[in-house]
Amino acid sequence: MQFLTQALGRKVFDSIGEPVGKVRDVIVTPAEHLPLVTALVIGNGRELIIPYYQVREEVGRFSLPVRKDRIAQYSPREGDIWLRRSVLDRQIVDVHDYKVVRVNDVRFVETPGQVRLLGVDASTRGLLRELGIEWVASVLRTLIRKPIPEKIIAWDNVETLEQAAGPIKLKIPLQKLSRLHPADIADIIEQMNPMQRTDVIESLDIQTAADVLPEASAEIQAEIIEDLDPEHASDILEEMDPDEAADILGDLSQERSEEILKEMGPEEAEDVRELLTYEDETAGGLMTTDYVAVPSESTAQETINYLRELAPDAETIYYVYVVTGDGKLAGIISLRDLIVAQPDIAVCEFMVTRVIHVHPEAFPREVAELFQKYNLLAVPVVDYDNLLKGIITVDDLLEHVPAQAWPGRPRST
Amino acid sequence: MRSRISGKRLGLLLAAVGPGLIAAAADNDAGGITTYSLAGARFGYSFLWVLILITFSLAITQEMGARMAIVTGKGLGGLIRERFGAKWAAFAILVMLVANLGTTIAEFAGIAISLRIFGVPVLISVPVAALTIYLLIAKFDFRRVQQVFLLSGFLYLSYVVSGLLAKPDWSLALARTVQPSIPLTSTAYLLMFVATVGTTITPWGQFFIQSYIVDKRLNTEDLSYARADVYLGGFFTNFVAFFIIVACAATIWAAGVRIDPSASAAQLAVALRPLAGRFASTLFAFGLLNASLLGAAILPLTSSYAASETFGWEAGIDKRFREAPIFYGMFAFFIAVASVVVLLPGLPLLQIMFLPQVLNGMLLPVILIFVLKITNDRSVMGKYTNSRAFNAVAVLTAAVMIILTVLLLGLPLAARFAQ
Repeated sequence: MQFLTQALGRKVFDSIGEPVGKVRDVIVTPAEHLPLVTALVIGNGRELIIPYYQVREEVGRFSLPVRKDRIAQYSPREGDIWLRRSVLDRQIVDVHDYKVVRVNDVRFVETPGQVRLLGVDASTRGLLRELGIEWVASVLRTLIRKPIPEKIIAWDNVETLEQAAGPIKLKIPLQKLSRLHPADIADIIEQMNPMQRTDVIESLDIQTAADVLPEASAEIQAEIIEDLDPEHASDILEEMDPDEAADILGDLSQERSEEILKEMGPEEAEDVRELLTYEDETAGGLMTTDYVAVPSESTAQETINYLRELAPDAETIYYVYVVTGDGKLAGIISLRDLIVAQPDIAVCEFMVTRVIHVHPEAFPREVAELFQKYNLLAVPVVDYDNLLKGIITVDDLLEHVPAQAWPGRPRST
Repeated sequence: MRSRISGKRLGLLLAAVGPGLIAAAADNDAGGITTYSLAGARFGYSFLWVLILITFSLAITQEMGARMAIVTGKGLGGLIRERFGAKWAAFAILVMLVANLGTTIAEFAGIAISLRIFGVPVLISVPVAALTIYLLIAKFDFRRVQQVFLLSGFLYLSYVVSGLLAKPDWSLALARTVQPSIPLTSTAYLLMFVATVGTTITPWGQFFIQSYIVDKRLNTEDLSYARADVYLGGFFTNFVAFFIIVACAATIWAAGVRIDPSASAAQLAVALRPLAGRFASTLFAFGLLNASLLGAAILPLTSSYAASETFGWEAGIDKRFREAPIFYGMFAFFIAVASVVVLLPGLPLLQIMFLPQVLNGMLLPVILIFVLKITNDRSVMGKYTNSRAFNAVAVLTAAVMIILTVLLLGLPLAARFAQ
């Protein structure tokens, strides 16, 4: 058998030609290479599951080498996939093309003595075949003078989204999907319906989910966080940069956002709360509190050690901010200055004291102008008492100010 | 506030309009208004009791759609496909498309007729409307389209105003609403009955309510909220219908004006003028225009969304034509066919507005049977399957429509054979 839709509905006969029933489903068992067809589900009043090794394929029908009452039974194992019930007609993720598609057919490949599952067919041709009108494809071909191609998505690239129909949720491991780049996972999630999105985010591990969410559109981020239970939502938000977490919470209702903040660790929650007080479309709304700051009396060596400790969490380590005892911005040192400096010199000796900075109320466009003019990677945000509030990194800015809107650049047409 | 833009999903698009107003837009479109007006003008207050029946049936069928959406998170087309396979899904979608195409033609007839009252010739009004609607969907972004729909939804209230201006006999109207009277003998009454049900409980509406609730992201804890939502929508639909029927009953029927059986809502608007005043009449015609335009945009849109979801085609009004060719192609096809049909010389526009409602009523049982099978399936709905009372009302609705359809198709045939 080549296609699932060709096998379904075929009659099965026993050794003396008595009808046993019609094929209702095909069961495959995951194997080392491609999943192996292990059983047929045959319906005839009641369901009969027979192991595939017994079955002989003949033209247009299946036959069994034994009498009806001697047929061996197959007991389905965990991990078996019922192709009609959980794959055919359902939505799957094509992890190769980052698309959510509907399965029109399932393709098999025959090797001596075995049939294996090759992949799924989501093409128009597959749909026509499933509808039993594949001849339309040849009519179309003569009409538009282009062949209607067959496109099989290899099983390795297929991630199924549900085990079976029904309201009982099984947690799906999503191994193939979770290996993709977070930005690609986000693209895929955007094609799903809301319930599928939440299911997928719930199935990913916390770190992956925290990497994926910021890549999705603001609206979808907020929707997903709103639909998760507060505990799970707060776990994910804690792993995100505080400015990204604040962006999401700012889009939720006050009560919902408060509910999630309560579940978060006190330190993370405080950072996010502070960021939430700033207007969205201002420097304050863009900034993050994840920056590296050291007191002015630290030595270069101490600062480098401190960086080693913190760097994995900070958004950028190219600049280190030097602050006085009461939190005022005193100067800035670049990573380069830090490394070339003598280890025992205090940072205040070689820091730059005339720091380019912005105030929290500045508009994103003004901030972009500064980045453009001074070729910055990040800029500190200080209030009118010169207290350091946060920093804006170039990638956060890029997310909010689309490239073509940057000052001094010709508009793309 | 950051702007929230995503045009991928139908429900989000229409969510802004609010459930009651959407339901009104869904059901009180050009054909609906024609049907209700004719009902009021021909049968007077005595047709009002039908609204009570319809409110129940509408509420229950819409609730089933909402419940399926909440439990499965999927649209009706996708669910039919997963449960019954591609062939049955193609059949259901085909039924919906036929019903919707008929209704879209009625919407364009509504545009043509209402603008004719304001003195715009059909040859101008129809192509301009078709182009405007296509560009609205193809070029405007999600937010803008939402705002247009929202504005249009509000304009429905013009019917309530014109109903009030008609100074009806309220005590008689209310008495007749709760008091059934069934002149079952006349084919005209049967036809009116099927059309009224067909214009209110539609294949369209079943597909729509389900995508709408899917995109509202409700879960099973919100079931009672969603129920309140759809019941309110059902009530609002019939509330507006009530005022339309009353307006025509209080004026045309009460004055004993005989209305041509093939009269249109626009003729009624003209007939209203000497009886209820110029203002009421203009409001009425304006309401018809608004309803027709809204329907002419929403019906092709729902058709494209539902078919795309079922067959896995790219869809969404934020996509370009190249990215979603079938989605836009189908949308354009609906608008083009509907406007060409309306422009064909010599076709009775008035009949065109009424007959698709009958067609809707006849096709409704097909969709209801799918809905009933799924909502009674434990493997899909778990513990949220239908209660007996629900099944009874839904089965009764389907059965009545099937029987009436058979009667309507069968009576003229029988009469012919008897001769």
